[in-house]
Amino acid sequence: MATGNDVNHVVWILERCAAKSIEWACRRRLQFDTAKTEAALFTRRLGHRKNILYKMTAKITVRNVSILYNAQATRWLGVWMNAYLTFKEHHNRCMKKARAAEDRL
Amino acid sequence: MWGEYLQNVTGAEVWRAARYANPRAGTTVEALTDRDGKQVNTSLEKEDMLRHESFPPNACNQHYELPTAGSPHKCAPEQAVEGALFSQSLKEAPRPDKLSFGTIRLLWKWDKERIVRLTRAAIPKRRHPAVWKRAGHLDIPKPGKNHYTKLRAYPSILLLICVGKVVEKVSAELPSQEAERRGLLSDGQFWSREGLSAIDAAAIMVDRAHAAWTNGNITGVLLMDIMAAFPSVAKERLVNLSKVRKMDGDLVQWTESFLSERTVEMIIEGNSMERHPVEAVVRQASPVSLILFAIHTSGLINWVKSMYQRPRGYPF
Repeated sequence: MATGNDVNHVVWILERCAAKSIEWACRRRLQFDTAKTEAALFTRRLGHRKNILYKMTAKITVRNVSILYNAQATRWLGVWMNAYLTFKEHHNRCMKKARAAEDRL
Repeated sequence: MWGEYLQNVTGAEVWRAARYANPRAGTTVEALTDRDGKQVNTSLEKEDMLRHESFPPNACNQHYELPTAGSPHKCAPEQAVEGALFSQSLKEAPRPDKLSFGTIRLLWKWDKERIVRLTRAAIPKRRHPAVWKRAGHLDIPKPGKNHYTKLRAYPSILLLICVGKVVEKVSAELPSQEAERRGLLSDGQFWSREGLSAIDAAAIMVDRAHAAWTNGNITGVLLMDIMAAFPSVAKERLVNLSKVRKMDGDLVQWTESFLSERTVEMIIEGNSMERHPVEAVVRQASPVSLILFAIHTSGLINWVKSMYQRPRGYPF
């Protein structure tokens, strides 16, 4: 998790953290699953429409693989988080599950 | 004739008839294809491929020496043993002794002192009996997959001896307490720590993101997953790390014994195959695995933080 003034700064920190983590893991013969690596951006407002694309298309390079920020909500530890941290997606999914359980009763 | 039989069936015969009337999933494993595209057909070949996938070779040439015996430990209270036994699900399938938790609960009623003594002896004796280090390994097809020729369609299930699991659960408390006391785990470690959960990690991350917004910043997270996490832990490295971090000698010796001489018996299409020794010693199903893996990876967050002060990590 990294904070910064703008997207490029955050990308810069995360890329270096990823590189350091991979270096640490290689020494211990551990391996990160690049296919499962995800990135998410949390911001109060994505800003003007012309800036949205710029922010969400910023790429993080991990082991020569470019990872885009998730445009939709990201699931982490069972919690669905979107860019504004409003938890709408999480709420909707929980309600859907609850309704399905209610219908079964 | 079958319809007539069903009309007249009574008592326990109803359940017998139900076994034939309801469709059941087949136990046959299709021809398997590994990541390199190699295809296998016979049971022996499938067993070999599934075993190598679940327990990859973990060659570690590090030399290690065991520390001297440690300080005597407080005996686990009877309530802790009882809690460890009665918190286990009765649905768990035992292997290979076939003594389920239900059976051990009956034994608890008749002779609970024996189980308590057995549990209390594990750490002071610095030994985990070999008979509890034998496991059964089952690959059940994952429902809803389009193709059952890929290894990923068969999640592995490890069947352990139930008495051993009770002892492991009680014994896991001691390495956890020792790790906390000696500060072996990083601050960002939420997994396998008493009083902390996944919800705490998520709440803290949200809180930090909100704090960054207040200062006019934005927050980015990178979620990384360690591939084959438990099987990647090498015993030699873990023992050396525990020794360097000055963990109690008894605990290190017990951990070494716990991780040594593991064997597994693969069950393919309902048939038990030959028993094999395995190098991947930290297992998904074991209560001790969580804390051992946490100790093994505890250096990661501190390593990253030592390079960059700002980022924070939450390993799970």
